[in-house]
Amino acid sequence: MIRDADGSERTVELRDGVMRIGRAAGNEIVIGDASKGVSRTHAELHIDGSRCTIVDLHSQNGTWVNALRVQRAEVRPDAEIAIGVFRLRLQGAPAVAATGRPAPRAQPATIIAPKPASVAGPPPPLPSPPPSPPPSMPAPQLSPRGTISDLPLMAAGQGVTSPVPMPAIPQPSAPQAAAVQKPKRSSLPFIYGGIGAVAMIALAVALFSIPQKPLGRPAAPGATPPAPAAAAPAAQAQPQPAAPASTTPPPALPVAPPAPTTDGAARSATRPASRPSTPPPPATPAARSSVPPAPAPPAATRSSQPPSASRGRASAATPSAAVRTTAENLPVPRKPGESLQDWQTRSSALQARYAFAKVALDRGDYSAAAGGFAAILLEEPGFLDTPQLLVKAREGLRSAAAEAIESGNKLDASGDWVNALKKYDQAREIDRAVPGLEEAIKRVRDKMRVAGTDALRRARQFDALGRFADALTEYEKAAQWLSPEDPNQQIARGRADQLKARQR
Amino acid sequence: MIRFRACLVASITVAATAAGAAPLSAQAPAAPAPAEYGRAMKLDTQVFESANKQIRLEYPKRDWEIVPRAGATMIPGVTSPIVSLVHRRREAAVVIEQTKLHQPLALDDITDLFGQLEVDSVRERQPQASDVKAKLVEAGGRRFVIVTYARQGVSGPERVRQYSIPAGADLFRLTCVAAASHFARYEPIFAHVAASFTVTAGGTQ
Repeated sequence: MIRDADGSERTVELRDGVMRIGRAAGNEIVIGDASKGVSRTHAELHIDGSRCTIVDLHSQNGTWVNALRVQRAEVRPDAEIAIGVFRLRLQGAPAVAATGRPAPRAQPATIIAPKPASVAGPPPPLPSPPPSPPPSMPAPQLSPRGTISDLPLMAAGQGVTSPVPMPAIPQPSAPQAAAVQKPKRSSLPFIYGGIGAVAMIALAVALFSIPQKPLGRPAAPGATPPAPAAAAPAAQAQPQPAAPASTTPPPALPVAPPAPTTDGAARSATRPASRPSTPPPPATPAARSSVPPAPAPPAATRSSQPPSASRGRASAATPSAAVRTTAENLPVPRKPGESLQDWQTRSSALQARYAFAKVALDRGDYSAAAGGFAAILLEEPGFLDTPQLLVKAREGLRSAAAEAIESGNKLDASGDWVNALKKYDQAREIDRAVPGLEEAIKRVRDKMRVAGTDALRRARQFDALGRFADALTEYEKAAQWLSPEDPNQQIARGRADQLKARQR
Repeated sequence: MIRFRACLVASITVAATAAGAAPLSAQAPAAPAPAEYGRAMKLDTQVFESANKQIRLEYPKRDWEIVPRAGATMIPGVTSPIVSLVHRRREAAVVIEQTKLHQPLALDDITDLFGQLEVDSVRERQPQASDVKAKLVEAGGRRFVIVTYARQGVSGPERVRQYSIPAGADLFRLTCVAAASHFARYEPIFAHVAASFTVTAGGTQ
């Protein structure tokens, strides 16, 4: 019986000889698969009396018997063949197997369509199974029994759960189960095989879990095991971080001491094993002090995120982001009575400010950098190398301001007072305390006032005698040079507008 | 040579103004020379007052006569003669014109530029004029321009002194002409007429 993806079922009776299975219409057993998990000519069933052998025809996704990819394997009545997303099961038993007479009608095949995605259960590994068996999956050659017939026991869920995706094997119905039990054979091999598989899976699980502990925090040579600090909360002092029942406070991040303090020791003792995927790299105190954290997004974007959200995003982004979010890189000392979450939030905010200011410093925005560093130092004096960077930013400010003043002086000398004043204003925005800046600004503004007044006089004289084009030019100069507070600027602008309208 | 120099000065001034070179604050106008502007103490004069009572001046009683002209214009930019004072032997004359300005000029608005503009105006109206010079002066509480130049008249070369006196929204030009050979003789009369020239702001138009 074949049950297609659309739910339709059909039964194919097997006959003696070779029957091809595939997507192409010329096969004896045609499996229509829109996802093309089934090759055109996927496999062959060689039926010889009581024996049924399946041969993979170099299909792309392989042929799987009892969750093992096979090139050629004997198929027993209780075995399940996985081709693409389809399951094929032999129903019935070769009644005349012992006699050697062919009994093609006695072996119908059932092909079961995959379960819908919404159905809970083990995800189907096909149509893209791994090219080689995963480490946790015992290879048939390593099976204690040496036969693939042992595997249905664990694939059927008899007390063993594989950590890797396994083909979904439906529980056989009562007749099918009866059919499975029909072959009179000893169950001892199955039991042995199951025990062996359980042992191997347990070994694989143990191997997977081994890296979690050494990667969590490298033990310093000769270091004594850290002891929980007396001041640490009880939840942090729990040396068993893997206990998921304890939810308050959530130790979402592994905590390591930035300095060999008792508080740091307490933090190191509360390392949870719930995040094995992003183990923090070994960090020495020297490395932490010399290498600042990686640049982070602006504080405006990060500070609004809850710590857990920002940590999750960071760990999913880049390794450097994962490094940044670990407490081992937090050079912020914990305040007395500060909760772990508050401490991490404060540290993250400081680091975000630090990264923002450092980016500003790198791009030459000394004003923003100096402001950022100063704000950091107000909150956390001595944060990383912020004092040094603040000095650097302020030096950059002074240098940039001096350059702006120099440019302004050149523009002033050339008579381009408007742009000279812009340069001076720019210098004042950078660093208000630059010597000579206010005098330069006053000097240029005085020149502009005088020149604007003269321009207005010229404009009026031109205007009085009917030379409007010249008058307009001078009015515009006057409007440009005179300050907005000067009423003559409004006069000049107004008359210029009138002359423009007259020209039009 | 003199003509070339005058043209050169004018060109430099106009070019500097048009190019927007670094403007300098206007220098304070100088006081006119006594021969250019001032009342003649021993001159027997009489008063002329325009029909609309806007202008008033003094001119010699002897040998000078009034030639009335049309009234003042109210059209901006248009120049119209008000009165002409002519010497009986036609050796000298004073022509008074009024031009309505497009914009009124205050005292501080009048700078050297105004003299240059007057020079341009002279050149425009009298292309044959030569040795055109302008001088901004301030006297009697008013600031005005004295333009001098030479031209070829009907009976020979003439010297001209023009007083360009802005007054509010009006510009009055007192063009004093004499034969070049007699200009020194009539110069005190020209200075007296200009110094006695007054404009009544609220004159009846």
